[in-house]
Amino acid sequence: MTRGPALELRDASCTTGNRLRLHPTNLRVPRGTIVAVIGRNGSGKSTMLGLMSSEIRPTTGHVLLDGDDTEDLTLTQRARRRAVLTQDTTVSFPFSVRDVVSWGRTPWQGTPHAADDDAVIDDAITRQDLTALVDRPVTSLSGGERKRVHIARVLAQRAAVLLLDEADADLDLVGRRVVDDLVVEHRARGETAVVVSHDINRLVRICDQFILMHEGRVRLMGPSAQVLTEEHLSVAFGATVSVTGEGDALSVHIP
Amino acid sequence: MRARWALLALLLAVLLVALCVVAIEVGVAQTTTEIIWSIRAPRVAMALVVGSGLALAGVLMQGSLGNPLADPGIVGVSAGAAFGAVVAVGLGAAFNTPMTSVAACLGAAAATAVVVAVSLHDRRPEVVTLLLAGVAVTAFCGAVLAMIVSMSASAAVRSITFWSSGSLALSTWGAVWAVAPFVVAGAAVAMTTARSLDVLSLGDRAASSAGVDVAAVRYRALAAVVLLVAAGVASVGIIAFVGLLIPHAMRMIIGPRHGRLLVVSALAGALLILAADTLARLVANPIEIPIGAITAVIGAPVFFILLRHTRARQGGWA
Repeated sequence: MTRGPALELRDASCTTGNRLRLHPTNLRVPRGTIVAVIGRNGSGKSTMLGLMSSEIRPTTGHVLLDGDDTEDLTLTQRARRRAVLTQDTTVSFPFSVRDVVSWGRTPWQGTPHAADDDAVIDDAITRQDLTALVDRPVTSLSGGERKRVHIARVLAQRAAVLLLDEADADLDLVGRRVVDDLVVEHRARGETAVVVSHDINRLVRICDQFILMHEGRVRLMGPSAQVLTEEHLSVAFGATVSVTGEGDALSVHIP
Repeated sequence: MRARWALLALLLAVLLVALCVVAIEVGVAQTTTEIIWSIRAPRVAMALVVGSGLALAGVLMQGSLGNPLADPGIVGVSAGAAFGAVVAVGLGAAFNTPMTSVAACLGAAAATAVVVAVSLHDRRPEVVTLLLAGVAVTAFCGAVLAMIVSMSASAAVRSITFWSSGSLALSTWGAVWAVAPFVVAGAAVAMTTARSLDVLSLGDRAASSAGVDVAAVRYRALAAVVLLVAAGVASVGIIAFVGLLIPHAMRMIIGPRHGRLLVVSALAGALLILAADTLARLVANPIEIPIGAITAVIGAPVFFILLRHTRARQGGWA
C-alpha cells in the first residue's frame, strides 16, 4: 500500500467562463488527518471541494486520489475511494430513509463487499440515530433529519476519504457533535476527511490542518496555530477578526 | 411494502384479463369469430401495447429527470414521433408498417436530441432547461405538422387528423406487429435502468459522487422512452395524460422504487387504455369518441386529486 497523500492537487486550477475560480494550486492532504477548508463566501471553498471530489474537472493541472489521477479513474472507482456530502439534501421522490442510506452501497454492487450491505447500512442508520425513522419517507423529514440521512448514506459508502460540504449546516448541537465524533473516529482508523464549514471554533477542536481560502487562492495551509491568526483571518475575511486562547481553546470572533 | 406491490400487480393483472374478455365480447356489431379475430382482438392487443408503453415511458421520464411533471408529451418525444411518421407517410410509406414506426422513432430521437443538446450543461442535461426546451420543440413540431397536414394533397396524410387526440379504431394485426417489438425492446431497456433511477433521485451531483453515471442513465432512459412511445404514436396518435397519471397513482400506492413501479405501471397503463378505448367505442355508439379525449376527461380531475393528496402527505414535491 502506498503511503503518499490521500489527496493531492498538482497545479490544479479551475476556470468557468472568464472567471478564474481557483488559481493554480499545489497541496497535499496527508492520510489520517482532518483538514478544514475555511474562508469567506465565494472565496473558492466549494470549488476546492469540487476539484477534490472530481465533480469539477481541473482546467489545468491534476487531482490525485490515493496516488492516481482522478481523470484515469471510473466513477465507481472514485466512489469507492471517496464519499461526498453535498449541501443539497433534496430527494425527488418519497423514498424511505433506509432506501436512501442503501444507495451509499452503489459503488460496491457486484463485489464481495456487497455481502456486508445490510450490516453496513444498519450501522450507519444507528450511528446517525435514525432507527426510529427508517421507514419514513425522506421527503417528510425536517432539514436536519434529512441531513443525517445523507450523512448515513455517505458513511455507508465506506470510502477512505470523506469530503463534507457544510455537514453541520442544518444540524442541532447534538447532531454536530455526532458528526464531529464520526470524523474523529474516521481519522482514528487512519483515514482522511476534508470538511468545509463556517464554524471555525468547532473545527479547531478536531482539525489537524486548515486551508484558508481568499479570492480564489489558498492563502495558507497549516495547523491552527499558524493559520488562525488575527493577521491572516482579518485579511481573508476582510474584517477585523480577533483570536483568543490557543490549542483546542482557540476562539475566533469579530469584535 | 413487498406484499403490497405484489398484491397490486396481481390485482391489475386479473382486472386486465377480465377487461380483455369484456372488450372482445362486447361491441356494436354482432359478435362473430371473424369480428373477434380481425377487429376486436388486434384492437385490444394494441391497447395493451400502447398503454403499457406510455406508462413505462412516464416512469422513465419522471425518474430520469427527477421531476414528477415530466411526460413523453412534454419533452418533445410524442410530437417528434408524429412528425417523423407524417414525413414517412408523405414520402409514400404506408401506415402501420415497421417502416413508419422506424421513421417515428427517428423523429422522436431527433426531437429528443435537440432538446437534450439545448439543455446540456457541463456535459449533463440540465432538467429545467430540458423541460422548457421540450415545450418549445413540441409546439414547433405540432405547428409544422399542422401545416404539412393542411397543405398536403395526400389522402393518407390528411387522415392523420385523428392523431391530435388518438384513436385505436384502425388497429390491425399488422399495426400491432409494427408497434409491439419497439415497445418490448423499450421495456427491456427500461428495466436495466431501475436501480440507477432510484439513486438519481439524489440529484445529479450526489448521484454522480455515489458512482452513478448520470448522463449515461439519462440517455439510456430517453432512448427507451423513444422506443416505448414513438411507434405507438405513429399508429394510434398522441394520447395524453397516461404517462403523467399512471406513474403518480402507482407511486402513491406502492412507493417510488423504480423496479416495481415499472412493472405495476405497465399493467395499469394497459388497463387504463383498454378501459378508455372500450368506453370510446361504446359510450356514444355508433359514434366513436377520440380515446385521448376520454383519458384527458378522466385523467385531469383524478390528477388534481392526486396532486392535492400527494402535496398534503409529503409536504410538497421535493
